[in-house]
Amino acid sequence: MKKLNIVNSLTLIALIAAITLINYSCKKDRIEPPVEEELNAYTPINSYLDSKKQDEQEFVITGSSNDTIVGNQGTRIYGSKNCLRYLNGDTVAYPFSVFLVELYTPKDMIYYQMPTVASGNIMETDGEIRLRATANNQELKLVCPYGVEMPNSSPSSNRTIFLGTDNGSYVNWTDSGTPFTTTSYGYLGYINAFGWVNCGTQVGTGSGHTLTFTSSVDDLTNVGIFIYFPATKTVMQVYNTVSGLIPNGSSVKIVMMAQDASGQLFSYTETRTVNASATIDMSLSQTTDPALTTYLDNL
Amino acid sequence: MKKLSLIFLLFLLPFFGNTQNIGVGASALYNFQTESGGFGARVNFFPNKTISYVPQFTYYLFGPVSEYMIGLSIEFKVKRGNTFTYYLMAHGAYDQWLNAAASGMEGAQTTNWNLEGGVGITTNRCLRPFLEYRYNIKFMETHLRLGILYIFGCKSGNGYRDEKRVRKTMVCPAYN
Repeated sequence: MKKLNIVNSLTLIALIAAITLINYSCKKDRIEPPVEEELNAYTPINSYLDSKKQDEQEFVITGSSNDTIVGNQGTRIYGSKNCLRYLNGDTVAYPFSVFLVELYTPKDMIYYQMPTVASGNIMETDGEIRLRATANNQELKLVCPYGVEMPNSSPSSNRTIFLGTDNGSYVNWTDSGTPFTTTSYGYLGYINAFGWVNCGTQVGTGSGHTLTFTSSVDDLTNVGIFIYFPATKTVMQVYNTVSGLIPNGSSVKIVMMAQDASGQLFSYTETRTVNASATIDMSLSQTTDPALTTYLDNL
Repeated sequence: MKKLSLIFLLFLLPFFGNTQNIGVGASALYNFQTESGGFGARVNFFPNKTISYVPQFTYYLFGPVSEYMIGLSIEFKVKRGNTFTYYLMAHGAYDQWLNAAASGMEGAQTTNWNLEGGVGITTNRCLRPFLEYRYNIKFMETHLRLGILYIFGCKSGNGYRDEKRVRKTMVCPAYN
């Protein structure tokens, strides 16, 4: 009888041990929220792009003899002091300063985050410049046209002056309707206000496809995403991981760039023909500044 | 269809009557891992034999996981005492996980086949409470089932249907 009690006790202990063991090996997978894998995080790409972008050139005009300005990439500015006024309408005396930014390559447009899209329609472009003037540290305005001549070895006949308006997120282009004149030097046009000027032609027609970018390994929040159209020299920047409208059949080059907290650069590049809207699931790879620069030089 | 039902009833007929070869039961369920509760219904074939066959339907409808299962348990009595009977069981079931889409579990799908093992305790009366503790191998979950089983052809407190043959015992006489 005593032996039987011992056996019963051992059985009970074994049973309790088994139940405890089973409980420990149980899983609550069916009700627990999925474990989200930590994505690679990046710092905003702006600091890297800003470090690479074209400098704004300052020209100090001290007299009528140096009214004509030539930028370091060849942009010519024709104007006179008589066309300048303070914002309150007062006339301007020498000296005053003219500031110029020149963006003629896709690389420079990308670095400056100045895509060539006009209200959602891509533009064919032969360059972007920004012009402004100050005197006594005060912004000036134009009261008569300034001439701008943008260098181009084989200018097209259908370029018009597009004016850029900063909408708070990016610069949107609007066709002024004023054509550029082709010259032996390039394009000559006249502007009535300072700001961004694009020598371009709208080629988008309000229809097309979009590309959506996703990644299971990278957090794309701070990643710079650009799409370049070699045929039209168009630069499109992608905001919130969804591109603008890409005309059917466009051959594009996609370049994505990011930088982590330690300063390490990452990139993703791809060439594709867009015949339908698509989602691109990508992952960034480590790169170097020279490698990325070379890629952008060869867009 | 009517013919089929009739054949089925005729097949079941021998199980009823005084033979105590069939019992029906209901139970309340609780799954510790999914924190879900429900109810179950079962038929127990040969409840007094060493091996019983228990088709059952269970439905979890309270809690985060909603599912129903249709399956078959095989119970093996390991110890039969005067008051309690202890048994082991193996159970296979078709599982329709109704809200699988809402689960964060990788590979969650609506249709599943479950295999469970467990232990149970019950009494020897005609109206038998039972308690089962089971482990679901597929989902690695444990759950409890607390219920009651009624044995056809057995009279609580009597054991025989024939009043003339009343025996003052709580144990069903067909139990062996």
